[in-house]
Amino acid sequence: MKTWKEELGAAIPEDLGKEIDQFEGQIELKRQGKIDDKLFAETRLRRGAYGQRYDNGQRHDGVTEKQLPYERQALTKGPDTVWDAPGMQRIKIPFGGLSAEQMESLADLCEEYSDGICHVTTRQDFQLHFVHLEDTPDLMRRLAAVGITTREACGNTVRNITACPLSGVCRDETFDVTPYARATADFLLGHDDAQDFGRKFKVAFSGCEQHACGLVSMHDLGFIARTRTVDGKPVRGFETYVGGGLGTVPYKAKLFDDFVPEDEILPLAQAMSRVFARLGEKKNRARARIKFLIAKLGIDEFKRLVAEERTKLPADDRWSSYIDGVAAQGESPLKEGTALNGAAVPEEFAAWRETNVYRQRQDGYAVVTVSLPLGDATAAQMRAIADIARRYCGDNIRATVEQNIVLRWVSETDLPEVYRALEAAGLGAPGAGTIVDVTACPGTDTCKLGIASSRGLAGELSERLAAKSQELDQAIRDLRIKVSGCFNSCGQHHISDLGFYGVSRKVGGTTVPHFQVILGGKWQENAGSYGLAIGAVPSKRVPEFVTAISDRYLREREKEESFQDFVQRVGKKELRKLVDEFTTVPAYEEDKTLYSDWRDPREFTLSDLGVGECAGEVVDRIDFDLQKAEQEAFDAQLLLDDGDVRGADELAYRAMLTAAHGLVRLLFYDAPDRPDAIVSEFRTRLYDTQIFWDKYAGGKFAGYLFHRHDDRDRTFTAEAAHHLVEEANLFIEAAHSCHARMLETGVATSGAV
Amino acid sequence: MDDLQRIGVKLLCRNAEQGESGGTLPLVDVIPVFHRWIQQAAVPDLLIDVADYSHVKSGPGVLLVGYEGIYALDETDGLRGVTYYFRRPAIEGVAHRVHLAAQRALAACSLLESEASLASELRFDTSAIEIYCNDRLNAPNEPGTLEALAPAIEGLVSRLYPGAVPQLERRGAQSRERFSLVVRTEDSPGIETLLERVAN
Repeated sequence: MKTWKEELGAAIPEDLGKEIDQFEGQIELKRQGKIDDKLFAETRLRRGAYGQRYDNGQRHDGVTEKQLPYERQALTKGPDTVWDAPGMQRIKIPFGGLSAEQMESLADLCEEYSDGICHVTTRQDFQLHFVHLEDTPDLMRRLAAVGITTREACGNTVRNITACPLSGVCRDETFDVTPYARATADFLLGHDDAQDFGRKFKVAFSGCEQHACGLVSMHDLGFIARTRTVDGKPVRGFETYVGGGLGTVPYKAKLFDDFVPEDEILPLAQAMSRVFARLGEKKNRARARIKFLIAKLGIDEFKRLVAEERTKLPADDRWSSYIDGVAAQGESPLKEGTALNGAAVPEEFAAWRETNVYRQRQDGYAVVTVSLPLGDATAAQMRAIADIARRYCGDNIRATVEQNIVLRWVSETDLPEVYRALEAAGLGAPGAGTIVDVTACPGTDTCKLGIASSRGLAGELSERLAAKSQELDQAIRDLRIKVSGCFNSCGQHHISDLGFYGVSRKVGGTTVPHFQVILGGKWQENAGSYGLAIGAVPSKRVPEFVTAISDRYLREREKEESFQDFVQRVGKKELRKLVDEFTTVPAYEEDKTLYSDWRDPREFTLSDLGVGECAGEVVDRIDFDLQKAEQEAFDAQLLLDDGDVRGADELAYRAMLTAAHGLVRLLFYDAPDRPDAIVSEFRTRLYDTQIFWDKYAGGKFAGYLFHRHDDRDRTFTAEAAHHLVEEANLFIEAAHSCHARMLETGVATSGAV
Repeated sequence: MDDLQRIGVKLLCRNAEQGESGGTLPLVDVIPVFHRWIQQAAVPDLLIDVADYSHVKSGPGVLLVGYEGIYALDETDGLRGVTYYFRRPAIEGVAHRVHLAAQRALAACSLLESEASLASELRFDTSAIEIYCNDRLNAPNEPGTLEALAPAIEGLVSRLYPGAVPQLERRGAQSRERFSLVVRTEDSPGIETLLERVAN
């Protein structure tokens, strides 16, 4: 049988290929029980391999809680996570930008490794569900071959960097933020200063202030495009916000600086990362996001610390080297842009065009939104979209935070043909960005934290509303509904006109699925304001409530009053009365309907809730360094076995340097990663002080590193390389022991819990 | 080819092309049935959960996800049918896997035909069976794959339709699509008969 590693060969960029090989090696080591559970969990999370509901091996089948009888119960891939249980693979797509080739690759992967569905998330990522861990290295190789990495898609890292899907073609934007989003994603990916966070870090870019755009207000770090005139010339920069976030208690981002010049955004992000890594909470996971650090320090002190950190940063060409190429990064249309010419159009075209087509700034071009129900597309549909893109607009495809896909640079003349092609693929539904286009996180379908069925409710609402969409008043059609399965807000319920999140209530001793109602959140103005929590409605009664609140809004709105203004005017107390009309739950004995959730007939239970992996595992940076050193020593042995004596020797030496560098960083965060500097710092800080010394062997193991480092005119022989590999392994073991002693004696501290 | 793992078998519903999704039974009606199958361990495999994609046109429908493979009332290509496909290594030998996938798909068809809550709305066309491979590397959509799989497929067909002269029809014209083959015969035995024929 052929392997993807052999097949793809040079098509995989060398660095990505090496990373994936290492990950595959770590999977094997974990399978052999040679890696700690938490370390492996965070390792796989940082590659986007996430847990999924029931992966603790337990499931309530509607009658009783049962253990899923996996053969290898004791083999785990993280704390309380059974190895054989399928998981979710998140695939990071910076600013949602995709090519036709990438769409096709995703199609193949969902068919071969998942359940046949590509799911677009609320952060412009893709997710595949029910993926087996052993399949992930090949899945990643196939993505790498088309220029996609899953690195840092999950875990305590910089997550997918999002941007307005209209960037570059928007009629109102200040300028196209795409090149800046891309540069930031490239710069922070794997950056040394972004590896030691206590929680995730989300970044977004907006081209304007007034539209929903990049939803800057709900991000850890957000940029809104601005220009200023300096010395008579326009200068690009960004109004910069920090510390926003949804979650249980939503925080609106605070203004950090009203104008950060374009060449300062990367060093600013780097300086902020360093402050967050150094001072952010590591033990209490519920308060580890940067918003809590800013709340604790105050925005002024936080700004001072970031400014101070900025002055310490060694200059980096990458901060500004991309800027000269910004203008050249614009997209190229495939065809000439010409206006719709009055040719015959399909009957439903007008309705579709009204909601799913946006006229670009560039004459004759339009953006087409492909509505994906609940963010789902089949493999065939992904290929169909790729075909349409190739034929009509080129590689100008983006995923959106509303779980749709947009095709940019479609010539208006081609819109009827594009509509027909989408319709043939089952993707011609109108209603993008309206009340029928309901957003939902995975909820109890696949998420370990889901309380109620967000997708079940969203599907139900979407179907019911779509059936009567033509009868709906425009004021109702323009509303947005967003649903989360729990309070963690992945469905972004806080920034929706009508938001819902899953909760439960006890009725006569039995648990009933409910949704907490959040009204009046603002999607526009970069997620301008958060909605009001009004009260909880039984899950099965939410559609009735949606009808009631819509009717009341229509009936009582004053002139052109927005839904947000209506909610504010009517007030929480009055709205609560409306909610209360729908809170009645009949006794279980009378009617069991409300005791199960949408599209899940099992009697509702909370017993399937697991420990979420959204927060990742707090693993100290040194643990990753030592893991990397072990991998290098292991690879050195493989090279030696293959007869590459010099390669083995140099890699074994590198393994010792990696371990030494990790230890030095515990005492000197900015220790340079150059061999001379590492050895010098290691000698001064760990050898001369005897911190590294072993109780019985003294400084013997350090001598292995010093000796190899000083051996400038080394003769590479198999025997010497063999000894060096052995010595590297002993040195790494000594580094582990040294780290343990440093923790015991307080020389170093741990963020891990 | 003997190590090829990701093999699937699908039987279409009668009138599979009727309407958008083939047949009139709402897909969601099978959700409680699949949940009950998990409770009762009604079909082979370590059954994990039910996934609902009824909202997607011509999609995978409603899935009963197992450890080794997935059962589904599937609507891929707009054709409703029952499928079972392997995702994990199960039994040795490609011929055995084709056979086992067919057994599992037929077992699911049999249960659905007799499922009281569905009021006999699901009936299957037993004159044809689709065999496919979700492995573009080792089973690309090209004639060579058919040649390599021929012994395994002929073995299954001779058990399912003894004495019949089957017609083989490759589906999916494009190389990027998965390898898929439909075997058609004049014979149209009942599901139970087919199930008996592939019993061990």
